[in-house]
Amino acid sequence: MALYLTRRLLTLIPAWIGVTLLAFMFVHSIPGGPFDTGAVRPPATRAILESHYHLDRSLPVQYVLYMKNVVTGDLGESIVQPGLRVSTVLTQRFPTSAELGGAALLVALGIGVPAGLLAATKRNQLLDRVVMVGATIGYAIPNFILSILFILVVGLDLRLLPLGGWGRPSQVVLPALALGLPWASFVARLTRGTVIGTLEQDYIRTARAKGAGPARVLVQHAFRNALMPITTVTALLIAELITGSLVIESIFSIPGMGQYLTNSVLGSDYTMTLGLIIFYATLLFAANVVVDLLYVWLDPRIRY
Amino acid sequence: MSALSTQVADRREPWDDVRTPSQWAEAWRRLRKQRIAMASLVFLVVVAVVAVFAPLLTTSGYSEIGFDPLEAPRWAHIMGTDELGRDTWSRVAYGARISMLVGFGSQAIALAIGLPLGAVAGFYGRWLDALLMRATDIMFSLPSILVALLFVTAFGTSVEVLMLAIGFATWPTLARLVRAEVLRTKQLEFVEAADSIGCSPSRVLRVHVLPHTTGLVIVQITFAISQAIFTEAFLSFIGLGAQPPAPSWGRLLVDGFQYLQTSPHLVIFPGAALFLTILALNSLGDGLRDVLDPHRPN
Repeated sequence: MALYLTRRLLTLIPAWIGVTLLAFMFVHSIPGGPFDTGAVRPPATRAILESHYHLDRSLPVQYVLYMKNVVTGDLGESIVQPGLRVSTVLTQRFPTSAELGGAALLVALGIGVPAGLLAATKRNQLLDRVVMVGATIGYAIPNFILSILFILVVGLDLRLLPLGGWGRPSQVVLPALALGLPWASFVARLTRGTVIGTLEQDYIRTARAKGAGPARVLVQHAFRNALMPITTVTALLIAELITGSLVIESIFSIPGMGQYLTNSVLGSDYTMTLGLIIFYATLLFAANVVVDLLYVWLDPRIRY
Repeated sequence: MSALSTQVADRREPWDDVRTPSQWAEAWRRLRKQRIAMASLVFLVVVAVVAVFAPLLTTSGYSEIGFDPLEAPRWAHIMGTDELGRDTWSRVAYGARISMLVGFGSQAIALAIGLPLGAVAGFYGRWLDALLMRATDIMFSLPSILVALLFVTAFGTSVEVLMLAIGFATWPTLARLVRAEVLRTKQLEFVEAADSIGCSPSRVLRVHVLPHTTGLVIVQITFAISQAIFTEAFLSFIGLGAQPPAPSWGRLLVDGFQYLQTSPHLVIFPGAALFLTILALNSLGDGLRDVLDPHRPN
């Protein structure tokens, strides 16, 4: 186990370096530098600025200099807004995005898993059909269209919930639903499929034969096995919810990280874009390792 | 001696007259029985026809201004007009062009990268495989929308760049799928047979192994096209998709969003077009999976 974990973490290092390199190359291929804002500066000032940010060095040197800092945990500061550190943006804005993402994940799993289980047990009955039609439709609605629908119906017509802002629990409901519901549909379809597949296994018949009730068979025997693909998808979901929140945050005026990411890309803020992307990628790597470890806990047959 | 061989050649077996339909004819026959998948296919053909013949099906250009602005739908403008007095139907119809081009074009690119890489990695294995898997690991750890976003900011927002960006962001999924299927197929007896009668490795791959992956690839591509159309709309929504006055569906949505309370038709029509197209592609994909996926029992 410890050996596996060490090996797993070691193989992540080249992949992580690859990600940073790819992101670095992309960010630097964006036309227009950070000092091309139209402000008139004497060439000498510009040269000082560029040398301060190492922009006068060759790209490989810039990369090495940058990574030296990153490894020590310093993601640098914004080029466009001097004094604004990437880590400050992360500590101030990431909790909000994480709250929204967490609430949406709760929606995706909390609605998707029970709905899928219900559909699987009532296979080909009316309830199954209703859930599946709902899931097919839900998965085809882009989250920004869902947000617009929510704003139109729940917010403007019924005036039930606030339409934007952040801080009160009631302000979390609509954005979390808009972000989470399409994925709840996806999870419901996945859960139904795997549970139906599992219910046909021999050991389920054995469990029934020895007298386990339907609820016990479903939860203890069938669902436990269906948890594996759901866990795998959860790791992917985290990535999807992070990027999905870019739009949701702007529609519902939520002060999260999304706005910084888009603005930094549009404004050639190299260090900000790079810092945020490296942060996201590291987060996803961590999520994948956690999922691998969860497998062991969920399925005793897996030994590393 | 010669009489005997004629006799042998002339002998007809009872099953000689039974023509078995090809794999594709059989798949098509089974697909036709699936009502939802067929309805989706018909809808997609209609969208494609609208996209191709947009100039003939509309009465004004997509950027032609001068009608009364923000008018609700009526006979002359069946989907109303926007804030600049442009006919919304024209814009939705030309928008179908962008969405379809980006959807199909990006997946053609993903296919051109992912299929050969996945096939070669799965078939020849070793360092090539290890290298490809590490490369896809890297691509997977960057959310595809983020990759597309970087691409678009680096190279601009023309339809061609959008196709490239989304194609580049989605090829790893396809490469992994093809690799897994090639790995599985190359263990089968007929591959061994082809190998033993002296087929070169590249012939075995091209003629005997690759055709086996076609069904799965078609299913995956159908879902990927719907995701690509979604991604384009997403990029448009944050201002990085097709640029005005080009009318992509995502662009129409974000522009109409400001007039949501007074002129909801500006959001409803492009929104419905986007939603129905994605729904049709997903439903067609579900139907195709039932008839083409060898791993699913019928």
